Amino acid sequence: MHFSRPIGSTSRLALALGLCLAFGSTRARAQTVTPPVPLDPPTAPWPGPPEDHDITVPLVLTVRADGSVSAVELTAPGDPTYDFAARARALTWHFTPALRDGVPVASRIRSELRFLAPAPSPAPAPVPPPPPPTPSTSPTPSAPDSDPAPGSDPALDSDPAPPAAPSEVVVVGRAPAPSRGASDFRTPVGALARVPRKNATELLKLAPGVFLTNEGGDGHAERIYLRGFDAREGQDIEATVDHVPVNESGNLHGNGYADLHFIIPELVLGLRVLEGPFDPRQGNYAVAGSVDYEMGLRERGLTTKLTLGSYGTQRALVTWAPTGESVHTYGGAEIAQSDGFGQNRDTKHGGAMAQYEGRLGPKTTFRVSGTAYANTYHSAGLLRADDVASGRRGFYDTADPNQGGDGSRFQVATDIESRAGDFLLYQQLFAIRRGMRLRENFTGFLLDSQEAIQEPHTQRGDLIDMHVAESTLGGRGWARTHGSLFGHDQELELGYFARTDAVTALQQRIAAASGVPYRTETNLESDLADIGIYADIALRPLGWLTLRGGVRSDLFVYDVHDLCAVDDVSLPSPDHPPGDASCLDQQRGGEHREPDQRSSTASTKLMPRATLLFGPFQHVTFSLAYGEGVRSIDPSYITQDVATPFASVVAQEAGVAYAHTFDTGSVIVRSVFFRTHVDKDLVFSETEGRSVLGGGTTRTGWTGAARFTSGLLDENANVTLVRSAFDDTGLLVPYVPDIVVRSDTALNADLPFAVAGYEPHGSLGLGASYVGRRALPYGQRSDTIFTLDGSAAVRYRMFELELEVTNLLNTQHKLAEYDFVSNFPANAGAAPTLVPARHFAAGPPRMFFLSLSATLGGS
Amino acid sequence: MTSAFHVTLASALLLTTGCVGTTGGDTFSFEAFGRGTGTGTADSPAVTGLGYTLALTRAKVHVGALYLNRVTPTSVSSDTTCTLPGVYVAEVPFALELDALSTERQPFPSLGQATADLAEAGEVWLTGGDVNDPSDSTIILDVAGLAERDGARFPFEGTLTIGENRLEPTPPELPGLKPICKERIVSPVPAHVTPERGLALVLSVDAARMFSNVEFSELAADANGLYHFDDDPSTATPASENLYIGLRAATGIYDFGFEP
Repeated sequence: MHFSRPIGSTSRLALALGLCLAFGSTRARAQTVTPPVPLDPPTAPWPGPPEDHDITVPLVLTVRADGSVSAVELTAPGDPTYDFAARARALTWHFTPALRDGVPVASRIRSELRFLAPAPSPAPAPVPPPPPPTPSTSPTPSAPDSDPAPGSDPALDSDPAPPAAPSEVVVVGRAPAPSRGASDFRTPVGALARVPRKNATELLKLAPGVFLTNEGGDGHAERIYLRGFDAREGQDIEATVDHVPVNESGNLHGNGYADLHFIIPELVLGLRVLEGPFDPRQGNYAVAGSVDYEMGLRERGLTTKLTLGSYGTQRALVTWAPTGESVHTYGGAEIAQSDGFGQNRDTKHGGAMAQYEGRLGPKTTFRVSGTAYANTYHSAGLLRADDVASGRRGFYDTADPNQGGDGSRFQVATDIESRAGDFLLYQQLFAIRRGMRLRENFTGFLLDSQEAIQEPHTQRGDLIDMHVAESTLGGRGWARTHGSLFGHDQELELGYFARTDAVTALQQRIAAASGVPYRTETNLESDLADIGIYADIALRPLGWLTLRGGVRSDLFVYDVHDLCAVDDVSLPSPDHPPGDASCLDQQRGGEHREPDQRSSTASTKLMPRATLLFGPFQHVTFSLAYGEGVRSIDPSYITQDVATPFASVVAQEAGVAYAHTFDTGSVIVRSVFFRTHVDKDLVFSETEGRSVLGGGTTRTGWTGAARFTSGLLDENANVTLVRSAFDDTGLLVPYVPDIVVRSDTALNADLPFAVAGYEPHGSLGLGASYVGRRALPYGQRSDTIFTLDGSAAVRYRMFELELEVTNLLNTQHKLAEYDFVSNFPANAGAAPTLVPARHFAAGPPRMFFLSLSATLGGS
Repeated sequence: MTSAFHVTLASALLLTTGCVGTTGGDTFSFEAFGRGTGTGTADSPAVTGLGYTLALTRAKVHVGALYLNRVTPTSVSSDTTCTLPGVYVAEVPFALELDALSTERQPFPSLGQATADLAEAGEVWLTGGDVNDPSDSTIILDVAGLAERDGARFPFEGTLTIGENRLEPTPPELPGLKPICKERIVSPVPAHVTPERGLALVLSVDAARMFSNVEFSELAADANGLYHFDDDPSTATPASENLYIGLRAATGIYDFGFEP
């Protein structure tokens, strides 16, 4: 971490530095950084005849994430003979790598190598008593100036003195964003990758209060419920991948739609989930919070993984990660397909992600990354519960087999982070091309209203055929500096975010009988811009008190070209009747007008954000946080020169966190009370096929979370209780779960037997989810959901065999439940159903997946 | 905050959030019935608005569906959509061949569905199939009886359908101005009822009041002296048209109520 300062030369100080880098330190870092631990003695054979005194060569070592030494710098070059020998010896050393939140990272440490003088045979001077013996590879740090055990040959000692601990730890890698309190969850995936997950979106469950549903199909973005928010498919949660935005501004299905399926789960190192708008770096859509995926690959070498599973599931994955390079240098590609459980759930997708992280000198790193992804799928959509109860349809059936979609995402990004003096500079550029087609039918045959200008018709079907194409260019950057004031380190960061989106969005209705579009509802071409700037400070008037926060302002600019501005006319031209055309070129009285119209507007939003941290006191840190966030609106709401009606959120919370690293592992426990208010919440409209603006809502609740990580066990558990209610009536916000409990467990151990001299390594994973009965409209409650997912894997040398079982208990559950009006008539002449009724999307039954992987090379 | 404080608050939250509270309202199924009012029969003759004493011997109404809506529309003159703009609170989307002379409850074939919201408007769908399909020729009203006035006797019978025969001409530039569904849906029927769990919806039909403005003397008699209502608007007498108007009258004919 570039901002770490030398604070001492003893192991105690080094440990203190590590703790300072951990969550809740005086530096207010949320992350736990464990320095690298040497596994080899810091001694070397004499290159020639031994001297009668020790010779010490001070070094700065660069330790890779795999624990090997990649570079040796001589901080005080002296005799070339010893320097050469020291460098050669140091390059062979091995370390337990530095850990940032449990994830191995490259680091730089100060160390020294000693050529130890032989002990004199006659001892003219008093000799200190020998220390107790230590294990041969004890990681127990000792002071660098500790004496070797007398009477031994240090050059040949097979049981040497404990290795010197680093006097300074500089983790080589990107500076993490400063902590924003107890709701700032930095969650390394680590061993919990063993817990079965269908896709990378499900990694979000590692954060508290997350519940995912999906009624749109395997290729459709998951609907995310986060801490009392119905964040829909990303409209209320800012999603980024290594800071590259995922939310799609101008997406007609939902402004901010975030499809995370392009992320290859095996390439995710960890997540930062900030539950609330408390960080000035958070931008548009950070209403419920934000998530940033950190991509990388710890498994170095070339890996091939083949998976076969239930319902015709097949997946091939290849990854590569050259040994000796950063954990952030990787590549991976996958192709997968499945018939899907039940009707109309087949899916195919493929994707590739690659990144190279390089260094430009000792203080600068850069990354270049690329992503490609495409999918196609069918969707079962939602079923009426009464249809299933009557036996008209099965639990895993579909009401409209024409539902499904396609999607693609191609992006390139590059960034650079550099330290220049007291400044830390970061700059990122990205370009994204995204395409999406979605066919959904929630309402059956209900919405095809008869217009006077149209030929008389029956209900032709409500199937929506939506297509969105979006090109995004943008960048972000910041500069951070620090200085000493009041005897403590103070920080200031200034930054910006900018993106522009060129979006085309078309929505039509498809006739069920013919499959052809009969009506164009929306046809927009939009040029959107979002420019945000912020200032962020960290004031530390006292060693145990940190005020971190600032203010952010975003400018949203809309230029919307509505290609279908007129869809009805009260008095059409008798000479040129418009007929059934959707986009009309006449107005009242039949007067000509062009069918399109352009509207533009702009608005700004100022958002203060602050976090107050107290501590740590005995590893306990208290925090108070306040923040305001914003969600821009759908371009379809834009009116010329009318300020865009933002949805604004105000969030407050009080939390406490306990973070401690033991010899056997580390533990983080958090408790957070929160309250958030949204002035214009989005309410799902099944008739629109998307969410529309509604009234104000308030959420109050509590979150508890714990993570325990050791070599054997990795446990992540969380509980969230929340009440979400409308401001005007006090009634509950529908669909939002008020109780979410999640546990992820991974066990790792070498098996107690050897095969051909090699002990196989076994691991188990278990994920448990409980979601309480969600409030539904009309005073109803959904069913509870309880699922278990498990896995078992055995690794032998280069091979790994893994069995995953999802929904172990094979519970037939309704993943999503909604109450709304639909009409799927049993026969052509049946009277329509017009009263709201229960609908649901079936959760998957028990499924099995068997994977075999092989890794060549690597460490 | 101490641990005890956290535990207390967490417990309180658990109690206050754990499946406590509601989104408001209720939704449930209910039984639905139709029945006549008992007036206009031989036992209880009715006097029409034109002074006829009416004794029906047959009055069957084909009810295609029933609906209740929260909102009474302020104006529907230019509306071409079949349904009301508000939120529907109750529905019985099943057909009943109703004997409007019987005061016995006659059940609809399946349960209706409702939300516990106040309804201000009702709809009676007089259709035998797709409400938008003009080709349906289901007999909606089948009546017979005797009307007397000033010693003149008018034994009558007639059937009415609502199909292509009821399509009205429209301007060529507005071909959808008068969809057939608007003919088939009697709406808005004044209603001020709130569905309640455990109660049954009862549709009362006063068939005699359909004849309020029927001038029986305008009807043509056959060789047997039986007067007939004409189902073809192009040839129908005003008496036949007034019966059709009476069939579709939103007030006075149909009444919604929830009863134990």
